[in-house]
Amino acid sequence: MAATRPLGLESALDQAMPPHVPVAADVWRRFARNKLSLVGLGLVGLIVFCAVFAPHLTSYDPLAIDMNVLGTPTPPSAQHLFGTDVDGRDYFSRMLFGARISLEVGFSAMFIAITFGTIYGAIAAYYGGWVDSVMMRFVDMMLSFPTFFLILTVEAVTNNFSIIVIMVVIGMLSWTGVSRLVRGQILSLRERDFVTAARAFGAEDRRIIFRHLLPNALAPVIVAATLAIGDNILTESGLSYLGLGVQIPTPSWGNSLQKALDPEVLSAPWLLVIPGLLIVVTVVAFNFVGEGLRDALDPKTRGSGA
Amino acid sequence: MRHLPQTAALIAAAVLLAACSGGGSTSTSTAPENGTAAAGTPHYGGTFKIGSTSAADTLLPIYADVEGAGNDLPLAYDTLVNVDPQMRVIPWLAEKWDVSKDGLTYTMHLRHNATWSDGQPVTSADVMYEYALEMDPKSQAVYKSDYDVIANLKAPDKWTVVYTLKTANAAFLANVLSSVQHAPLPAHIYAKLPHDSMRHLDISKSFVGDGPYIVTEFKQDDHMTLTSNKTWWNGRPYIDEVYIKEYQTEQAQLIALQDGEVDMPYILTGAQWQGVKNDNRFTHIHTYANAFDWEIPNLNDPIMGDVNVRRAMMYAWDRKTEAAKLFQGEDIPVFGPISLAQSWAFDPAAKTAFPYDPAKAGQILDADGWRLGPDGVRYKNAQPLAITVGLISGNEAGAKDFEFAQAEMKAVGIKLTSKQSEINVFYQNERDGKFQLDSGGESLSTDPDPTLILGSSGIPPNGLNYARYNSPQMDALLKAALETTDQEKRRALYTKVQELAIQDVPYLWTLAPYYRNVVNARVKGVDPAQAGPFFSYTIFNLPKWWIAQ
Amino acid sequence: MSTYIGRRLIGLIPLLLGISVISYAIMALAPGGVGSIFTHSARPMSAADLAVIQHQLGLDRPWYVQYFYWLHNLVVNRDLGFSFIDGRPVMAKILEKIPTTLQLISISFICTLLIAIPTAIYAATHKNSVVDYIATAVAFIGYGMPTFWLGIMMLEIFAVRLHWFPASGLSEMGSSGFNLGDRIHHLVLPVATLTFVSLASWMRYQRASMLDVLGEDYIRTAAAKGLSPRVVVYKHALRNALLPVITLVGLYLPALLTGAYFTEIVFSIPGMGYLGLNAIFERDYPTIMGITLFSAFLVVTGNLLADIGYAVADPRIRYD
Repeated sequence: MAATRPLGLESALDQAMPPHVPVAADVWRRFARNKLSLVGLGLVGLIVFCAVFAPHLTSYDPLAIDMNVLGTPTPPSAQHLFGTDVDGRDYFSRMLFGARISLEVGFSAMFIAITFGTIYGAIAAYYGGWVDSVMMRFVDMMLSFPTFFLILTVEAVTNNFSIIVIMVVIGMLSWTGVSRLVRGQILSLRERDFVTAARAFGAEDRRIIFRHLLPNALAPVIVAATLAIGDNILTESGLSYLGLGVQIPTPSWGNSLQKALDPEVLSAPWLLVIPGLLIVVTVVAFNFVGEGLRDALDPKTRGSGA
Repeated sequence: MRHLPQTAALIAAAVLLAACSGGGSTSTSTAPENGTAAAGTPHYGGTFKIGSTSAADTLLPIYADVEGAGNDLPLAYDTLVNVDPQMRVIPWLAEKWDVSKDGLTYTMHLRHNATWSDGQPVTSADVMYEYALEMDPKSQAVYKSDYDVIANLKAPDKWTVVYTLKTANAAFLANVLSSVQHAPLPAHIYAKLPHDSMRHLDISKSFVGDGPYIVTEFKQDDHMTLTSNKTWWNGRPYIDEVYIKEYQTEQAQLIALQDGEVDMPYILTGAQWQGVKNDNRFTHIHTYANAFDWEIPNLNDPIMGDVNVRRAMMYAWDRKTEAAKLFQGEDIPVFGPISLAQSWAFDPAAKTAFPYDPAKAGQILDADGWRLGPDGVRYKNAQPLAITVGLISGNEAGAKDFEFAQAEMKAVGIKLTSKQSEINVFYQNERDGKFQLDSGGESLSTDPDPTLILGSSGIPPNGLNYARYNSPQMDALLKAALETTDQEKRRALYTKVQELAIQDVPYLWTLAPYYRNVVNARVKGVDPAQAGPFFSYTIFNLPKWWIAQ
Repeated sequence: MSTYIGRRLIGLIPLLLGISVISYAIMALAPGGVGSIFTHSARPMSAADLAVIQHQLGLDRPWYVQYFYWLHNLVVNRDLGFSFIDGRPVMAKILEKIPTTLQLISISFICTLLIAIPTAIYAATHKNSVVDYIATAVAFIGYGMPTFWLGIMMLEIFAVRLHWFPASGLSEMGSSGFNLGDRIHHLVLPVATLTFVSLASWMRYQRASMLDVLGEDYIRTAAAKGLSPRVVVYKHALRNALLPVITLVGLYLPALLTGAYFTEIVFSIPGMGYLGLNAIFERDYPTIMGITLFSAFLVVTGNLLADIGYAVADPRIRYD
């Protein structure tokens, strides 16, 4: 059917659409109005910079053990900005490389969740009816899963506790929220005139979903994605507390926290406080950015002077 | 918390604590002797509070498995024989026994003055009942296989039981009859119940025991209260009440100890010990633990099956520095299957075996054909000398140990990488032989017999010989040592076992830990020299302790 | 409306069935099956003993057969079976722990609302004021903290160093009976932990909802008519702004439950969290299934309430 359709109609239709994406300058102007969002953006930039350039920002190998201070954590000093941990390793360097791991986990799990969740939610909403019911009941089920076994099963399948497994697992735990969000957005768009028009002109389902519906649902997804990065970093630290997060000797903020719970380390409070603060700052920064994006992208608050 | 992974190091200990109840050896008390024997006069009264991260889940000893029941229940049940803190087998419910010349028949004579807490005497019927109950698969007893050595059990009269063994077994009294898991049970109460209902029986409201303390309240995952048995055959215990509190994290337990909320934990990790070792509010217990740390090689693996690789690793491993620095001097380098706590069988050669000598490690590997490659890793037939070390996820001590070893091995051209598994998966992989080299710790039973880890009969699924070490020479030595009850002959044989272990390196034994603990100084009569190599051995003397007024 | 609710309630049955079957499958297919820990001890359970027990527990059958027996027992006998570890009825184990967990959750929840809603209303009516910024920042800092980390910091500062509050448990050790003052004293730190991490979600949601309503025409009209701002905000706007927030209750339950489990563990409170974690590490299938069902039931009923809440709050949504 699509092949027999005159080509011109397609582009005519597209032009009849409301604009998919707000103008970038417009978005930035609204974003910059919120001071907290700007602070958040600055912090995110700094953290990403530190993670990307970690090897250039420290002369210490995060895995190298200094035999002289082995066994006794040393407090922060000029030589070791964040001190050394119980294995005699430079804690600043471990935090830098930990930022890498934590952000990698945060971003990758977010991409997995967003990609899968968006497609899933869009399909459910577009088809509606029993397809929607079945798909959404499955989402409800996902929310009540014994997470722990999911992790173990994935571990068994891949025969590893690698960082990739952690990413996949966290992604698998968080796509449901995105799918609900996208479904909600598309449900409200589905009956709008431009979609009805596209359908009347015989556009393919796939084209309607990807060309017309998804772009219009994009704004809340971008916001959700930003917030998800922070949430994923939190999830990783929670898994680490249970011994199921990123595994040593690879440093992540989460497993540094867990390591700091050792009683001998509790006498060295900075080992517990520093990674915790880094997690807090990072999650808060991503949330500020997310909030700012929400205000900037959400059509409802747009132009209301908010 | 019982199985939070960061406590995994302790789980191995807890696991074994549960399985043995017995005594210790050389008590090297280095601690100040606060509130010890001399202080004040004993008197009745008070509550002794024990903090635990894995208290009992069951009150029936036949189900006392991996949980703290092995630590708690010896307070409530007496066994036929007991093991004192010096790990000597001593008369208990059986006041004396005769062993036949061939070592096959044990005739146990029960004391006449032991009673259950409801006043009924403890008799041979109770021993017979417990045996029959455990032997019936319907009861699902956890350590039923301990009774595999027994051919039959008879009770000629009310006060005598006769065990006939299948083969002579010098470890029978120390490892089987002293275990709380095999303590007699009150037949006059339970005999009428079907065996398959025992698993689900709730006896917390109507507890009947014959030990120094009787359970009066039990709230799972929270606490257990025991009240002293005023008519205990060995004399009424001074302390009236024992309160065992379960904490969900080691951290909470340590805080409670330091705040004086509890008087004593089961055990202190090396790190926890650092926090209290100079605190004079406590009486300090510091003895050799009946345990060791080791790396288990899978001898079926082509690399780990090469004895020269195992030898080289031992020489390349600076265990002295590791013990001194990483574990604050709280470990001793020891290489061998018999622990320092099993003192009569321990061969001092275990302390001097494999001194740190990286040059020698290099020579051994060179001679074996492992040549250093341009990347700093050794190769043989284009295969790199790379080993994957299995760790229990979240286990801090194991992780520290690995990180240290990784640096040490790198220096001689051996590449170590780690692979973490959740604790159940870890043990399943060990059983299934799906590993190269596993890091772990092991607690031992009262008798030093190491057949379980070195004998070919211990190869999984039948035992703990996870290395799959199979040596007819070793099997013969172990068998001979088990068949004689003469301790001098056994010692000589275990010296040979030790020599063979050094030659074959079936395991990479690294360090031996101490058993460390503290008791609040308000508890009097605690003599650190009378402490055993674990909790259950140490509280042997609890009935003689008292609370300061 | 009532037919809608009735239909949704019936819909819960296949949903819970689905959750239980998938949970059972994942649990039974996960590596490190029942008995791994038992076999690793000084005198391990022999392979033969283990096989006997596994047979009696039905673990030598395929997982779907095991599941069928479990389900049969649940439906016919309304029984969750016995724990593999201690032989106690799972129902008894769970019922013993539910009050503890529900107590922690409900008190924290009330505290959260008592703080979040007034703050959010103030922030919404004073948008971009200093208070708005501070409230937002503080709420997000709470949100950004790993629950267990916040708990441990509280513990270290207020219990270990300052000795203001007890470090663990729900009552003074060895005390018999219930003492309200003692209970409150023990609950301060756990409740504060759980409340602080929950604040942000509620505060932000309530603030946004309030802003939406304040932007609506009828509120503007009311204000233009000369009604006092106080009346406009509290009489008209608040009522309409609270409704959508109610729906968040259902959606927030899973997160609250997870947070409560972590809090229980940090503060050594013997509740569902501790029971569940131990059951998982011990591979105690019946207990795991019991707790999964309990959590799932809370989550699905929470979702149902949320949907009903939407229907009540927004008559434009039709359910037919």
